[in-house]
Parts: sequence; C-alpha cells; structure tokens
Amino acid sequence: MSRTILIEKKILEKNDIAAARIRQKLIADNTVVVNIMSGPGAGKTTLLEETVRRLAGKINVGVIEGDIATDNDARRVERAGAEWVVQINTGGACHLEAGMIERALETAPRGMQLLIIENVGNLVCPSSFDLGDDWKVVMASVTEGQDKPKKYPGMYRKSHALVLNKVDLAPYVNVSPGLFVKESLEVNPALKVFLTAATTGDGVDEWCDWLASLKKRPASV
Amino acid sequence: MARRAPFGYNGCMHELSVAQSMMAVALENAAANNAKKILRIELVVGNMSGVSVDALRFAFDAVKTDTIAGNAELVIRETAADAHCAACGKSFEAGQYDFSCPACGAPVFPKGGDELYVKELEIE
Ligand SMILES: Nc1nc2c(ncn2[C@@H]2O[C@H](COP(=O)(O)OP(=O)(O)OP(=O)(O)O)[C@@H](O)[C@H]2O)c(=O)[nH]1
Ligand SMILES: [Mg+2]
Ligand SMILES: [Zn+2]
Repeated sequence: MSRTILIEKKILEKNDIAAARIRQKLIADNTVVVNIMSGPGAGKTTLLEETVRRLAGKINVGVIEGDIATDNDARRVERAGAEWVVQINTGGACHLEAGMIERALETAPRGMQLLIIENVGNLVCPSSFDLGDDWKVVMASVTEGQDKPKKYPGMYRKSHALVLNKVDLAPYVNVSPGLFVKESLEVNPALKVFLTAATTGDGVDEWCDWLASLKKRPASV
Repeated sequence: MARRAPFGYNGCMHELSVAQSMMAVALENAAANNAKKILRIELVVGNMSGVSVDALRFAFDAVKTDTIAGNAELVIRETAADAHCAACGKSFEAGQYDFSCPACGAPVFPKGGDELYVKELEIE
C-alpha cells in the first residue's frame, strides 16, 4: 500500500543552513560580505584589483574568487595587494554554493572588515544560491547590450547594486549607459547604480566609498 | 599565496545541483518513513526561483537512477509572482519577464514566486 507524506522542505535548505552558519561566524568580526555576480568577462576581477588597491591600508579586505577552473583571478587580486585571497574552483559548476564559501573561510584571518566574493561568471545560476552575503551586486558591461537586464532579470531583481562597467567602450558598441541604467531600474528600482571603467579607474572611487560605507545587514528570515 | 579549494562537482546547469539537493531531501524523508520505494515526488517551484522546470526534469532523470526513486513520477506545481500596479490598481500574476502592467503599461515590480520546496512524497 502506498501512502503520501507531507514534507514541505526547502530544496536548498542545506545551502541556506550553511549560509546561516557563515553569517553566524562572520558576525563576530562584523565582516560585511559582498557577492559580485555577472556574466563572464564583465570586468569583476579588474574592478576588484582596482578596489583592493584603493582600500588596502584603509580597511581590511578579503577576497574569495570563484571560477570553474584556474587561479588566475586570485593571483591578479593578490598582486593588487589583497591581504587574504582564496581561489575556489568549482570544477564545472556554474555558480558558488554556501558550502564552498564555508570551507574557503576555514583559513580566513580574524578581523576582516570586508569580504568580497567574486562569483562564477554566469548571468543565471549564481543568484539562486545564498552565500551568507549581506549585499548582492550585479555587474554588467556596456558591451553586453542594454537588452540584458530584461533578458536576465533574476539577477537584477535580487541585487542591491548595479555596477555598469566598460563605459569607455559605449561609443564603440552603440550602447547608451543611460538607457542601460533605465532598463535596469525598470527591473529593480532599488538598485544603487555605479558607472565605471575599471581599466581607467573611472567611477571606481565612488564604488569604493560605497563599499567602505556598507554595514552588515541584520540577519533576516 | 593564493590557495585553491578543490570541489569535485561536475555539471554546468544549476538545475543539476538543485535536482541533487531535491533528491537528497526526498531520500532522507523516505528513509525516515521506512519507505522501500518512492512513487511520486511533488515539488513547488516559483517562476522567480531561477529554476527552469524543463531543465529540472531533465536533471531529475539523471539523478534518480539507482535510487529507490528510480521509477518515481515527478510532479511540479508552478507558482507565480504577484504584481500590483500602483498606477491603475490592477493585480495580476506576473511572469519572470513582466515589467509593466498589462492594463495601463505602468512599470510593475512583481513580488514572491521564489518558492522552491519538496511538498510531498508518495511512498510504499
Ligand atoms: N575597455 C575596458 N575593458 C575592460 C574594463 N574592465 C575590464 N575590461 C577588460 O575585460 C576583460 C575581462 O575582464 P575581467 O576582469 O577578467 O572580467 P571578469 O568578470 O572577472 O571575468 P570572469 O571572471 O572570467 O567572468 C579583460 O580583458 C579586461 O581588461 C573596462 O572598464 N573597459
Ligand atoms: Mg574574474
Ligand atoms: Zn496598471
């Protein structure tokens, strides 16, 4: 005889529990966690290099780099002067999960004020996984085209801020940064917006000021 | 020195990892209820959860083999986000790609639709 049992259990419960443990661990040092997500090549690592250069010596920044393979990005950020960098290789997975962050944090030093996580370059999957982060940032480059916010709305809806990068290339690719931002705000009007050219440093100071001003968000539900 | 944390996980769509988590929840609960077989797994998946139902079905077929859910039927109940138009007052169920009100065209910002859970199991 068959019977039906009621379960009502979240599928990503294990991920959510690991994320809660990360928050619990990092609350001791009041470490603010920022999760940066974008499609491949938007300029996350370039922005992080510039960010670390500017913030080094002012605030204690740690970085976790997520990539399918290679530790190029961690090396780049380390050369830029980050005090603590770990490379996670997902070995094929298109996103980071909280369990990976938890393991990476085993070697973290005490006293980190800001932990920046560079997610795997992917516009769809990363936003489904809570990493114990306080702030989610979607990064885009103007070269992707201004239709992307509405083609990939999930990540824009879940994020607190948008960094629109490579604005130096806008004239060459026939994209209007203003229109890109407008399209983004039509998906999520609460986005805090930064326009940057990470390679020239344009707009990076404003972004760093914002990062330095962030507070840990009170643990919600 | 930059360190590298290895993760032996393969799969390039996140529905595979969602399917694995879903299967783990199902198998744990089946075991806790002394089930010999899982006949049906019922999920609730919101249209804003970021999970594609087709990809999830595909991934389910890959992860169910050699488990007691090998012949299980996967039932997926899809839920939708709610949208309310501040301009004209219309309320409607919103899809992932709805950014404006179907009645008056004003921008709307859907809420909810994030559900992603195992609702029930039929076991024997
Ligand atoms: N012109 C221009 N090029 C940029 C800018 N920012 C980054 N780039 C270039 O874009 C390419 C990709 O930059 P990365 O920083 O590696 O991008 P990423 O998002 O970290 O890439 P993945 O980690 O592989 O997803 C590099 O060749 C950068 O030099 C920018 O503001 N302007
Ligand atoms: Mg990178
Ligand atoms: Zn309306």
